[in-house]
Amino acid sequence: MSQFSLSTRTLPPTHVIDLAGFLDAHTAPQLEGAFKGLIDEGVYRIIVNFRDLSYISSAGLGVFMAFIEEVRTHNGDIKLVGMSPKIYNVFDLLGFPMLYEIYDDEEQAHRKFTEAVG
Amino acid sequence: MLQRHHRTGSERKGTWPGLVLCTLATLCGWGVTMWVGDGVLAGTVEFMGGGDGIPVWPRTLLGIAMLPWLLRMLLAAAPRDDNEAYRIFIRTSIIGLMLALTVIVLTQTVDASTLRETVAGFSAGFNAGLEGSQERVVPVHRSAGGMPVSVASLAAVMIGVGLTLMAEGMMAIVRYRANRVWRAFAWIYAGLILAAFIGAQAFPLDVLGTEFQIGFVPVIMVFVAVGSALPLAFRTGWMTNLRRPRKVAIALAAVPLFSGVLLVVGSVDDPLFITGYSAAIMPGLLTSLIGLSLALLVFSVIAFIASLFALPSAGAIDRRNDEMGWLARFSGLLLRSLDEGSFVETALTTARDSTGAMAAWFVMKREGETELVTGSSAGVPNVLLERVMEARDDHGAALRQSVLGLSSPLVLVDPAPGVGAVAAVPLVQGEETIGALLAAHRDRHGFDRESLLVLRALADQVALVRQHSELVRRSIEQERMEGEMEVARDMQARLLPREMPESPFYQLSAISQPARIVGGDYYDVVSFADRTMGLVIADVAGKGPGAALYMGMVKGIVQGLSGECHDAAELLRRANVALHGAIDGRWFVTMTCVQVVDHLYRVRVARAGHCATLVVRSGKAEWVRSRGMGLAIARPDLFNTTLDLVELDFAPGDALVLVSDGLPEARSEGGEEFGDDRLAETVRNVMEDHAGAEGVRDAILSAVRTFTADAEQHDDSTLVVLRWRGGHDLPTTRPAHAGADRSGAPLLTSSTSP
Repeated sequence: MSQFSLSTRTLPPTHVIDLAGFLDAHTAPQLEGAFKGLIDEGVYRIIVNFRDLSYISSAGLGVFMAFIEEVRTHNGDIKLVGMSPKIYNVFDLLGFPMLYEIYDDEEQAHRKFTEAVG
Repeated sequence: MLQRHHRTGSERKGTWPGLVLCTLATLCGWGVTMWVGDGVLAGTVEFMGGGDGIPVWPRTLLGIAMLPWLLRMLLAAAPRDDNEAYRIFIRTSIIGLMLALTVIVLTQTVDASTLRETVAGFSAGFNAGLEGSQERVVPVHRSAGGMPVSVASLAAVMIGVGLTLMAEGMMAIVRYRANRVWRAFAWIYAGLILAAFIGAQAFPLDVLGTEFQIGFVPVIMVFVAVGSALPLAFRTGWMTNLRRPRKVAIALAAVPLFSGVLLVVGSVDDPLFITGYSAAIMPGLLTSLIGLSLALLVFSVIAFIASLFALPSAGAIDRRNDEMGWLARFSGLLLRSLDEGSFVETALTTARDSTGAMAAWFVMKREGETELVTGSSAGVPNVLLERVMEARDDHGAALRQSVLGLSSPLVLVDPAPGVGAVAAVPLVQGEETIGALLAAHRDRHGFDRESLLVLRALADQVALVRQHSELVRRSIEQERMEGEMEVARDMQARLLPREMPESPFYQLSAISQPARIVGGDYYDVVSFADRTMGLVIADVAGKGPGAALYMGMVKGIVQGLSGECHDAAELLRRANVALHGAIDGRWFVTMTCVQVVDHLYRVRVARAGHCATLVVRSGKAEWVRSRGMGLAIARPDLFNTTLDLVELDFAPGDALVLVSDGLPEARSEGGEEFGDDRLAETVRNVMEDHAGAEGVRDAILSAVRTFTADAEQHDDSTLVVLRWRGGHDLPTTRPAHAGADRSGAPLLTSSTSP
């Protein structure tokens, strides 16, 4: 049932993953693959844009947990942007805002990264 | 020949005691005859000279000695297969040969005059004895001039035994796969021969005497017997499926069988020799000898003719039998070939052996490529196989390519040096050609229509068995999985509390429904250090078997820790310590723990990332969501600082509902979520109708079910309802001492009475 798509683009010095549709147990492996791909290339500054994501399940949340440690040990980060209130609620329920930087828009996250690099 | 019976050792041994007994009986009978030799011989002479005949008793003794042999004939066991029938025939023929030799040797070495002298000598001795001479007994070996009586007597017995043994073989063979009618014929024949023997042997000749010197009645019996044996002789079906060399052997063996019998019959003409003795010593032998000989003559002649007629078609029948044998053996072997390796091996060996090919191998389609499968060895070097695979067909396509498009067998001549012809037959599974079976022959004409048919049949078998084993493997796998999942579901169901505790202060009702067979949700009842009751609801991220396994682990941890914890927050903190780092990075657990201080109508709630708790107080529903991260997400320091413990006070009749996200997130067919509001509304409504805990639970379930209708459930759903007793609908049934029992709890600092 769930339609899901993701695309990766560069926004130097970061990479942006755009999510759309339903992120659940069926589609989570796609996101996992995208993360793995970036990390294998040595990309540790990642922005995930949730603007077009309409649903996220616990399996989808798990993907973020899987990579955050590794990214941070390489002085990188995964910053989350553009969440709808509903999606934010799910993250909030779990206490993710304590662990991840969540911004309203991509610009803020990007600025954070550039500041850190600068 | 397709049927193979393995006789057990004991069956084989069974014939020996019988033979030994027969031989002993014969020797005894013969010995007795020797002992009374003079009298017998004298009687013989008298008889032959037209005298009074010989006394009955010596010949009765000898007759009894012969009886076991005849009984063997009567009871001859039918062979179990064609080859055993063949062996019996050959054995019978060898006996015939020995019989023929015996007769030849005797007739050649002892002439009639010698015999006459022998007889005369005995006669003289006997007469002398009768006249009161001292030498009443003339020792056999001292008979003047002629053949010793012992030899003559032994010859007669040997002929009798030989013929009876041959008849036994014949009886066995004609009983091969005989129905009741044929068996009856065999019994009539053997029975009449036996009766005629006893009849002629037992009664003095003067009672039955005729010009034949044997009784008229036995003679009639003998001819009836032979008549019944005639149709039996045509039962030559056992020869049909024998291989060609064996058919030739039968034709050859029929000759000594026939001639042995013929020589015995021929000696009947010489009244002074065997027949004479036989008639004198053992008149029954002469009688049955006629019956045995005639039947054996017919039998051997028909066997001879039948085997000759079977010879031209023998090659074709052998071939057909080979094919059938190969296929039958092949099918059997394949079904027992559990692994792919022995399966391939069996198929290739069979392909080679059944067509006389020098090599056989498979070409299998694997991801668009062709792959040669040769087992341990195709029979020729792989280099040669590769060359064969490059051979071009009429359209110029290499065999490697063309084999996979085959719909019928293909034969290419001279595909490579040293290879006369290569044949390829397709392996078809359903509509699809999955590969081909190939065989190479040294001879250019090595593959005829029949061998191609065999290869074709073989290929079909291979494809079929492959498909079959695939299906079997899959269904076994599935069955095993289903069985295991069934056990898992059962086990998981048992991890839930068997029943909710009873309390005078509240009612509890709960349910957990996995979306699949097993799930990551659960609820539990725990007991804190101060013995207050705690309710736990948890959801392991994800669903299915992995979540279920972690669920079991989480339950164990929580149960183990609860007894040492003083409140819900401490329990969650310690659970997080236990789980963080212990489970895989992308897994986490959400949990809400409610500590119930029953007599205070108070609960303390700690939430670790789990859905909010629905609280209905005085008819007003609200979702309570305290701070707290999911378990196993954050390090203890972060987790602990963000975890709140909330205290909620209730009044009698209020309720608290713990849910997992499967319920508010349940979707209708249109994709709409059930939602928190609808859930709260449902509970509020049903509580207005004074429903108990169970009523609230069922109302939520049925509302969600109505909402989702036929839409598939994607998440586990778990629900725990606590409904405080009291109010106007649920009267408190608290016993007088209940409060006192619990008041010792250390957490109870408030003295507020419910």
